[in-house]
Amino acid sequence: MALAGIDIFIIFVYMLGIMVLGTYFSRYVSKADDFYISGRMLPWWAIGMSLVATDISALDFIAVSGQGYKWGIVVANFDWIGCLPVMIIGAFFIVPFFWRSGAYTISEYLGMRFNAPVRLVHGILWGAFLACILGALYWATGLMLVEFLPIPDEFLGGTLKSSLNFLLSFYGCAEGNNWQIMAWVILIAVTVGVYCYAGGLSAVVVTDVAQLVIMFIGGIAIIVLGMIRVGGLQGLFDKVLALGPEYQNHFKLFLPADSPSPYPWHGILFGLAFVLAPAYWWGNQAIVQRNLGAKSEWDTKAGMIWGAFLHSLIPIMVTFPGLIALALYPGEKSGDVAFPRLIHRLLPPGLTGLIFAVLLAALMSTAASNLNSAATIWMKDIYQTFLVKKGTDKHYLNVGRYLTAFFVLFGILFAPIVTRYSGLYIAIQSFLTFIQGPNLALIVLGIMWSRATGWGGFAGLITGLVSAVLMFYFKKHIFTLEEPFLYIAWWSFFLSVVAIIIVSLLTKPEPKMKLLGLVWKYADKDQELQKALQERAEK
Amino acid sequence: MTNPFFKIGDLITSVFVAIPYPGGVKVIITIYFLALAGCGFFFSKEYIFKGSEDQKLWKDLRIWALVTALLELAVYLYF
Repeated sequence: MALAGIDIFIIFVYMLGIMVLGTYFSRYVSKADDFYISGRMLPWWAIGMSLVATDISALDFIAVSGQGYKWGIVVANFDWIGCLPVMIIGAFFIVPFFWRSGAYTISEYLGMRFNAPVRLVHGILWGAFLACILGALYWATGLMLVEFLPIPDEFLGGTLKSSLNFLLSFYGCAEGNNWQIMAWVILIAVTVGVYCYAGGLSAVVVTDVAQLVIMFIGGIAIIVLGMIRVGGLQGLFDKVLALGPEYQNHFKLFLPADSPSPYPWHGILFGLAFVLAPAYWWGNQAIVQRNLGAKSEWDTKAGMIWGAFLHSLIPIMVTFPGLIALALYPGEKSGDVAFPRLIHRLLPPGLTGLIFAVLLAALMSTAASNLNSAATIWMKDIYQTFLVKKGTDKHYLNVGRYLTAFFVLFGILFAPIVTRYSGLYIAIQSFLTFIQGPNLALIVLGIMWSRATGWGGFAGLITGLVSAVLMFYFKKHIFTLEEPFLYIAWWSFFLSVVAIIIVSLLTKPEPKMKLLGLVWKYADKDQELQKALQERAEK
Repeated sequence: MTNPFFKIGDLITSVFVAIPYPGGVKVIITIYFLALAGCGFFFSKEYIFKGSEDQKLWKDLRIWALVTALLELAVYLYF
């Protein structure tokens, strides 16, 4: 499938515009604070929009619509019950504590609340995850871009193809059009890297806002055209349900407990809504970083709830295209091609370019946030804490920029590894599964239970992590489902909580002054809190 | 010999299978969202508005949470 000239022009204008907008904000970056947490000047509306833009990636448009094609509306749970409730609870119970602590990262907060080993392990885990996820995002988008914009073999005299095939031969995947995917990976990674390097979190947030607007315009356009083609909501129901008995649950948000799908209702409620979702929305550095940059406590809370509202509109753009594609083009072997097929066969020239820009917007906003957060974690929780403790502000600003450049390169080199996994969406969840359970246990007990001690937290982190990895590798012997990531998250959370409680009760309680402003019990003692925060800042 | 992990899994699943579907599940979800919609009202006004320059009605985050949660509950009741 090739794009028309007008489509390519729209994409070109979009990419150039985002790059200019992002790099423009470099003029507001003169200190490390400006680069990492926007100088704590972010308003609520920008935080909310940025939260959603960060969460929604091109993977959602392709993989979630693909899962929607295969399993139906049940996958919308990831964006509905998997987001709104935990964002509201997070706004009232969680993010105010992160904001009050003055931390740059969640690992830093956990280090204040528990101890330095927790901070180190947590920082390395999240730093590694954010770096690796970049590769997955880039590869998925490269896959999509090749579908729309194939690169001729003879481009640059064939040098590009032979060079990239040489690189891919080290991964054992120098075959087919993989070299074209790699070419797009490099282009996108460098584009995002340029504005992240220049403008830091401010550039990330302001481009997120612009990209979310584009996502909504394009997403609504494809849904309107698709719904007209299938004959409205009733037409969609009729067409899908007429496909056969295996499609009768395609419009049910909750599937029976004995459903053979990976999404039975109790798995969604107890695995996703009660573990995976809160761990993601409260414990993912790429998400929470904009909350840490809020200009006030009210803005950080309001940004989260505003984001929850906007997020409730997302399934319309990422799940329903899969259902529309199923109604119009049933029989595809892989759900992942549903969204590209819909664009290819449904949209006129011009609009195709806009949707293409939507996918790029989704990728770039997510990649930029992960890139910025990876640099923040590695600088703040590892470099500044364990390597160079007494550097100047300018030094830490520069290190953040060098790390950003490094992770651009790392993301590019990691991207081909994703080919080893059969499903892109599952690959992402597998990465997350290892750390989500213990991450949530640390945050919840850290804030809600003042008796939790530093070594209790460390024991919980290690127990949850080891148990999740073991469950993942022995899943065939433990679970009956093929991809039981929801259950692994739940059990690793549970085991982590047990370990925190047992070890905490066996160790000495933390002093009250250490906990002020960091736990719920001492949330409202403002004079003491301010004093404690001041002392902490002076250290 | 049956895998003991599968036995535990089957036992847990049997508990959930015993909950009437879809009626019982919808009741659980409704309670969940109603609790969510109302949770903001357990906080003091001071906590809700902390950091805000004023206490105008539109800035009351309890109302934001209420409206947002009820809208999503409507979606869950429909599907």
